Amino acid sequence: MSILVQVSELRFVTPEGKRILEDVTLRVNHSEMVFLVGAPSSGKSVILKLLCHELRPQHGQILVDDRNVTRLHSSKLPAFRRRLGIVPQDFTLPRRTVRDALVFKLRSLGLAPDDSNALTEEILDTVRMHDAADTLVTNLDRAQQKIFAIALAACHNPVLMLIDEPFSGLEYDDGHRVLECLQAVHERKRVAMLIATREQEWALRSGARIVYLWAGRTYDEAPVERTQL
Amino acid sequence: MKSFLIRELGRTVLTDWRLLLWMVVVVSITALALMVFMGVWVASGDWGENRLIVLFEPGVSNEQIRSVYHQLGQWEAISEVLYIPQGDPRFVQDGIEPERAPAGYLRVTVRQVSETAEAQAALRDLPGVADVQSYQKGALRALLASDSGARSLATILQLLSALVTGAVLSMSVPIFAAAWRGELQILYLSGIATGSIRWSFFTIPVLCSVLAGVIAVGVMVFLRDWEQLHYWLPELSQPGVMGEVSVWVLGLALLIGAGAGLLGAWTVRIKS
Repeated sequence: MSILVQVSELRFVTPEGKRILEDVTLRVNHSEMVFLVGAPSSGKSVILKLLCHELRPQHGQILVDDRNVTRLHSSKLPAFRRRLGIVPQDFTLPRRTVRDALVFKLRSLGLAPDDSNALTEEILDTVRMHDAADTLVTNLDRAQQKIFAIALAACHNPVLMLIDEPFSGLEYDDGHRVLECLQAVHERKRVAMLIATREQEWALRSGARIVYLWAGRTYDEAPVERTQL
Repeated sequence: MKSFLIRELGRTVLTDWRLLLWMVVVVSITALALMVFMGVWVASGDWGENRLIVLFEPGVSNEQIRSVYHQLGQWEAISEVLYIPQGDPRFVQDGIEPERAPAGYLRVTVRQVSETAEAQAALRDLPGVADVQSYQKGALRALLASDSGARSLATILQLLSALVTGAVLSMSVPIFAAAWRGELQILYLSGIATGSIRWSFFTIPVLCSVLAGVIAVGVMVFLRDWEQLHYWLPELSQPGVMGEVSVWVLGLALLIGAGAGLLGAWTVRIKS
């Protein structure tokens, strides 16, 4: 499989001087699902934000889809972001129905109404949300809201999805629904996914490759201190 | 895509009664402020009067008046001459007592506003001409001309109405942005250029302001023959005035809307 994301020697320090990332190396292949597991405030979200150019590192290189993200000019940012599907940890819900919000995003990206409707039905089918398609997003339960956010990020067929804490605050059954949704999107769209989570259990259940983040460094195996996550 | 966002903003207004109410308030305040601005402006005469009424001495015949009429038609400085015969409803419109012009009078339009005074003097020298006056002036104009305090107050009122309009219009952008927090995040995460998002928000004050301008002009046209308004601002009933004033008011509305739009759009925070 060809490499889609290549991160090397990444270092990030907050403006206040707090060291978040010391030496992060990360690779995600095309169509690969990778879990980034780490404790709260370990810097998982920071890595996702660095990958989508919301933050800039002090050192290191980030290559995404053959683009050097660290040197990405702001004028190229919109086109770059369109290649991504981003699910932030805190998602502000629009006052729209699920279907309307999906169509809104696709039409905003310049797609024709017919294409937008077709892609909307496709993603609703993938995440099995047809029954809730005409429900206001704000009226969905928490798991459905998470699934909606994933559908919204995936509906325009991005090459890479960056998903931050999709299981946080969910009961077991709800977490399972979200994992099923992630797997369905991954299988159907063949999209690469980098999923940041503090809950190792879901990463292990998925069977996907796991990268651990501990003390600002990445590991392919769980460090001894992290086995009790 | 930009037009899609503008349409979506419009749809949000129609589906959210709080936004709709806010829009009605904004447009009403703006229309009211523009009406105040328009009234003071017309009364001040700053819009540039170039129309004159030529009254003739008693005993001057229709034939003599027609002769002057044809003579004026040859003047380079004059763009239009109209003969208003006795019994014409425009006597009332122009505020001319019938006994002052038993054989009728002439309405003259000077091509350049700057040449009005010179033309007025030249017209006075024509044979049979008793008086050359500008169109009927209302009570507000008389007040502004005679009282410097009223003039200052009118200027302050104009500035205040422009300021209030600008403030209310620019405030509508953050209110829309707050209602669109979810949509803004979607747009940001989807990689929609900030400029495109801001442009759609920029159009809100512009459209509100122009709509208010149209309403203000419409209300003035509708009310110009209302007794009270006619007393204070009879200038509005004069031919051509509304056309001229409308262009200026709509231009002003566009300018204020654009200024408020720029200010408001700049405040829209777009982030994840």
